[in-house]
Amino acid sequence: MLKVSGLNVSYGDVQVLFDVSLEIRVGEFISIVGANAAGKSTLLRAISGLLKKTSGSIEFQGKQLVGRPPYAVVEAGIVHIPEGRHVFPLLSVRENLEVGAYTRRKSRKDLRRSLEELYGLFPQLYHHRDQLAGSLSGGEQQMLAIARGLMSRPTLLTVDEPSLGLAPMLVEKTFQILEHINKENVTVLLSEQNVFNALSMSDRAYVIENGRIVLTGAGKELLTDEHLKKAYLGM
Amino acid sequence: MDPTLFTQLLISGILLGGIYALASIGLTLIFGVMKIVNFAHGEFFMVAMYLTYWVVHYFHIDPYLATLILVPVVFLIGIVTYYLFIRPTLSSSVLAQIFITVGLSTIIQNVVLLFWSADFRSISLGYATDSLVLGPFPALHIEEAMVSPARLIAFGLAILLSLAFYLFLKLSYTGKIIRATSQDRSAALLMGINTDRIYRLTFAIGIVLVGLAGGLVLPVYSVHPFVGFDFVLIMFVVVVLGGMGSVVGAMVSGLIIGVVEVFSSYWIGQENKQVIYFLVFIAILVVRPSGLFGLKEEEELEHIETID
Repeated sequence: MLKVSGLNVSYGDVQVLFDVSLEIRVGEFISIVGANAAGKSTLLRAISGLLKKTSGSIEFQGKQLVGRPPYAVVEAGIVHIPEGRHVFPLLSVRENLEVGAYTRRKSRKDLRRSLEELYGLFPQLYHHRDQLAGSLSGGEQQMLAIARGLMSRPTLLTVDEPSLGLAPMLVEKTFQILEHINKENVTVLLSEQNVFNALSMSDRAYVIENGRIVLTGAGKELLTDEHLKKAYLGM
Repeated sequence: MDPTLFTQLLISGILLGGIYALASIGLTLIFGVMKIVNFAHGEFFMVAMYLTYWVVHYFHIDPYLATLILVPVVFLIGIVTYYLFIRPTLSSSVLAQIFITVGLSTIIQNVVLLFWSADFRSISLGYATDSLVLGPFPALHIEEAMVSPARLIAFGLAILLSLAFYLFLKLSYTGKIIRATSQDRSAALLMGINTDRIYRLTFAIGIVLVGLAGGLVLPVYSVHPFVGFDFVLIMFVVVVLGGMGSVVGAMVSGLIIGVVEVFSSYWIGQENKQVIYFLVFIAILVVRPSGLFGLKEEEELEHIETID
């Protein structure tokens, strides 16, 4: 489904990703784990077309995405839930969701159906539908960011650090939601510092260090890897 | 103060303020969405006045009709200006953005001067030259107040257009997309929004709004190549006072500045009236530094430009 090969990314003169390659198959739940500043977010942002200085290849369902603008990436079916949620604070919850359906805006009926489905999945968003998104709690904003992303019915959802700044109970809930979405045939690419949780959920995972992929394998296998245990799990 | 005089000044002030509101909405919109201060905003006001003037002059049609007919033309001027001058500087420094719009303002003024000379040109409304008389209202101790029909029509249309634009922004899908883009550009990109197209549309709408204001005042003010400058100073006061980026703020503070201007020109004279509205402006900003309807700093948004 998604094939990244030989990806290099720089911010100005500073190279952040080096020769990164990975492959995701339809329906998989893939994690990218690593320390802060390892390059996880950069990788997701490069896939989304947000970064200019990108070379290599990002192929999605046979289409080359490098050099394509972000809207073309969304139109192809990849939606990125950014780190820090980035809901539109002065739009209501409902308006946020409507904006999320931008690529499908032509069909009113479609939009209403998506809204109903997502309100079913996130009842608290329905409850707060007329409230300004900026007035929601952090956990609710994270739910809104995910729901907003799903409004365009992506085939691949990339999620950047959804657990950041959330209480443990909400982290748990966020991961449950992502697992649920994955079971509904949305492929998920998750970037997380919360290594234990991410690996236990994932079909496969990639470990990224200083902008390079250093380790890859099935999620549960990686949990027993000696290097990983020492570096990220404190064992 | 004599209630008749007070009423007279208040009416004149509100009528003037409606025009200021409409003219300023475009400026605050462009800033709110694109974070660009359009120093050439007054020149688009002036160009629209000229276009209306020439249409009326050659085709002998009603100036308000001419103003509406010219909307697509002014929209197109906005689009072309966006591509030629605004888009190339979007990612440049603030300084470059200031230079480009200030430069544009000078260029437009001088090109107009070259073609159409420095003459003051004006039209008059054939059908409405006599003042309307309001009153008397003996219960309020108000004798007759005079209202110029041209000012009244300009005000009515300006308020109508401002409200229509406000509803468009609030209720239409495109309006929601424009607001989303102004609140968080990177999130808008991630929703699949082509923000370049939204910027282009926003800039053109902003120019149309100021152009409409220019056309509406043609029966009241003479047009000359530097008329934009007289208005743009007030537009900036209105925009900053209302809160930069706030459409409602621009509408409310447009009316406030209109009233303040009329009262102060009565009390201390036409040539010193700016002193008073700048004092009011400073006084309000001391209490509310981000303007009447502006966001407080902690409510403002940070963007995801941090390095991973």
